[in-house]
Amino acid sequence: MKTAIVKTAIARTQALLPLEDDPRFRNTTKNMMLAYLALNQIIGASALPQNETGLFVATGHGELEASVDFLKTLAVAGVARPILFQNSLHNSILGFLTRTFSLTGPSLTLSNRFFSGEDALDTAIGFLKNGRINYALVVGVDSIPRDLAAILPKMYPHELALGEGAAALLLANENALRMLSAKPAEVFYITKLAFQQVRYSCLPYPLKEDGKLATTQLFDIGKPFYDADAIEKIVQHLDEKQFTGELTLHKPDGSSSHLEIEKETLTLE
Amino acid sequence: MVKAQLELMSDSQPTVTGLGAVTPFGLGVHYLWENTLAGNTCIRDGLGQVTDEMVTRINPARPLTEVPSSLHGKKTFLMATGAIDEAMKNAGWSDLTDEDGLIIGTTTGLIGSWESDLMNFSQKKIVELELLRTFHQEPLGYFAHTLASYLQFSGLTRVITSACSASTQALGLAANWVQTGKVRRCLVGGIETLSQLTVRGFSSFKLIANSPAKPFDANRCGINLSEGAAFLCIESAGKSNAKRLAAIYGSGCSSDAHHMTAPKPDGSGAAAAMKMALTEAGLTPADISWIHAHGTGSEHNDLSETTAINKLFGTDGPPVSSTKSVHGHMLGASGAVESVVCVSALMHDRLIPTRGLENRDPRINVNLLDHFVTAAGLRYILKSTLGFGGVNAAIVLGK
Repeated sequence: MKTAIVKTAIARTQALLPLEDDPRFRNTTKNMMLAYLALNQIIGASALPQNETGLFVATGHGELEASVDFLKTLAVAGVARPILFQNSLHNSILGFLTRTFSLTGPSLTLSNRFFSGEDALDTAIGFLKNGRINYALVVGVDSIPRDLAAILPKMYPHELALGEGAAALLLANENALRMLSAKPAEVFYITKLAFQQVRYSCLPYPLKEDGKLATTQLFDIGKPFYDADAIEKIVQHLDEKQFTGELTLHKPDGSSSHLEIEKETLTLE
Repeated sequence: MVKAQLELMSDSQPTVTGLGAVTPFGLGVHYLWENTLAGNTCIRDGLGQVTDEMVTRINPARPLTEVPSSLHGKKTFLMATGAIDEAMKNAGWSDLTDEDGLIIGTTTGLIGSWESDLMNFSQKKIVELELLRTFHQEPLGYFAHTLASYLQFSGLTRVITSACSASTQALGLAANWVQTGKVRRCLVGGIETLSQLTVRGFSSFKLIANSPAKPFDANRCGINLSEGAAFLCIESAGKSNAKRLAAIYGSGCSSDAHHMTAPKPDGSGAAAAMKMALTEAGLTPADISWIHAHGTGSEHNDLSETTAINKLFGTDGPPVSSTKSVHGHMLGASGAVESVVCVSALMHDRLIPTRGLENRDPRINVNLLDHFVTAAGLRYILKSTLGFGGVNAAIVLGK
């Protein structure tokens, strides 16, 4: 049974401004709002069945800002703030999204550095193929903690433009496409998802005393990057006029993932 | 899948062939099981801690040449290697190959390596460069790759961090990978280390009890946080000559969509996860010999979870108990550690009661187990976990 990408969405930090005064997002984090913005573009028109829809959240750093804020408040003021702790888990993003969108199906948070997005996508495909769910929402999100804005980029190769954002995909089993209220005119089928992980890639980048870190030449150092951005890169590829159906995502450490995707025009009644 | 189909497919049945654990009781499954059986508790002042002395006795079986030297003495890394080495030795696995998989459940990873430096940095006690020396270990994927490096493994690696359901979900995924042939074998487990974030965080919710927890008790007053690691070796029944300790028959997960921290009071989410696990296993509630509950000792969890159990199994269903008052709540590692307890129970035909259960909460309407049972007919165990964010997971383990 083939897995179809039905709908896609990207959310940028510039879109967060209207949410900052929205009482619905009081006590939420940047990650939660970004992921919400991406998912809202997909779910709004789709009327997905709650318990047949899985949610797979990918994040490389998780709720790092809330963790930093919690520990900083603890260190400086000796106070442990419950709301910060509540928001500090990687899984907090998922908790917010399932509650906001009333999603009661299977949900998982995955975090595996540069492969966070691919891991979430692969896991979602597995759940769909297993028949546990008919629809899957895959969200990749990462952001830069305010207090670590100068530090976090130094954990990456020199001159890498560390970015932030969120992207989402709606996947569906072939036989579930007809049950969507908003039927797609075209879908993309993922026919292959392969990982090429550099062996022993956990070795850290040398700290930037010399400022001259090298990275693989295949990685596009000029484009903004965040750990879970594979989802966004997939969305961008699907939107490209010169869609080739083959996408290789090179990672800063020399690893890569490879996807093969077919496009198909549908006539669904 | 119905049970008949499973029987026809027995060759691909995911089986557990190795167990490993490092807990506050000691290095090895033996210490966890024997102390659980004896009804001992490792909880002191509300916490279960793996001592520094115990950590110094962990000798990784493999060379550490590919592992950053800064981690060689770190508790989290050593606990993981201790559990991994024991599991693989028991299963007769010398190495992982590119056909195998590695799945880890954790909520905080290597937090012990960088947390204090981050707190010192925020107080301007150290500078940026000093923070970076440890903070680059913050990503959970870094931890996963560290373990992969230790194992000299470059195959499929995955980290699930769905709070307290993380390693239960990891076990379900591992079983699926093996059963579908995505991997030949899978090393799966959970690791969690106590940290300021978790201890002070749960304390801020007034959830931590100063004495050993009393799950399901009318006078229960909170949870005990603990730390440890547990790993299981999973492979197909038909492709292995290793001794079969147990099998994973089914798994399920669901979401409450209710609250960021409190479980849904009507238990519908947890019940859905349990039902999914039973359905996948091809079993009915009557087939379950024992329900090993999440049973944290918190007011809300114990009520919600037993309401879920009552929905599916009724008032007089299989015995229900929690072992968290013995070993504590290991958050992301709890599913893996408690599955090791379940597999041990299957191996020894023993049911473990809830330690500390003296006055049953009258609002709880399930068959609570309050005494040890030798059960020759022990066949299937349902293991349940409920996590922050409303993430519920369940697996069915059996002989």
